[in-house]
Amino acid sequence: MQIEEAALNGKVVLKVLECRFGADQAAGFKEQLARHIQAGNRRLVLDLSKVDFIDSSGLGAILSVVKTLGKDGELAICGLTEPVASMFKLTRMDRIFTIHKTVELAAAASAC
Amino acid sequence: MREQRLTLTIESRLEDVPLLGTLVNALCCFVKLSATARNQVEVCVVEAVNNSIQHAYHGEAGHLVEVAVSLPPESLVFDIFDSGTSADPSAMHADHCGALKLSLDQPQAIAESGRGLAIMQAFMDSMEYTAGVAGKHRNQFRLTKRRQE
Repeated sequence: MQIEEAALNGKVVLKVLECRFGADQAAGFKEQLARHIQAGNRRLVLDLSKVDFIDSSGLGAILSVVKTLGKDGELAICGLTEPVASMFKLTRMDRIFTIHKTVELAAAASAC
Repeated sequence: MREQRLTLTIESRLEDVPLLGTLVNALCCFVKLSATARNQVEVCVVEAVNNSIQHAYHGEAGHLVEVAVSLPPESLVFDIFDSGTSADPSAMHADHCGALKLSLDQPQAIAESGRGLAIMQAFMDSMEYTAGVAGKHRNQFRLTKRRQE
């Protein structure tokens, strides 16, 4: 999976550059995020603005990041397209994560 | 009005599933489903095909997953066939909405998987699973979506 990395307000912003986040991408996503967390990056912003398709495996991969981060970590999510927002709502993941409209808002927000 | 039909087949590889999903979305566009309904149908067909690859074929490449599409006037019908290990039909037909309930105060305990069937039940108008279709070692997952929302 192609992920672009940047730093903003002391957080690491990870932008998924794929338009589809399905089962075929889930393992690669988890590996890359785990590497960031192991490197000490515990305040992450996940930018999904390029993603217009996600399935249950993609959602599960994002949930796995929460577990890897643990209680002291922070994962903010931003840039949900309509199809992805619909999946977050159906699976109630919009209640687990604080969803922000933009990267800037996500990076500026305090831990959720 | 004649019922149009189309069959798509892929090898049991997760990296091939986006090909199917993209074509299913285009097909839904062809029959003028709304953008929301198109995305819902695409997700559900992808979930069913992922199930065939991951559970019926245990993630093993080299098998075939077939998606037969029928277009009666009032609906779209997707039959997903595999020849792998059958699931328990009664478990497949159970109410899966519980898989969407979350314990919000314990995010660490939330399951990472097990939502596919619940998503299909929520987005499609009907979902039927048959193990060993017509006496053959072939499993059929039928997903139906009405054209009118």
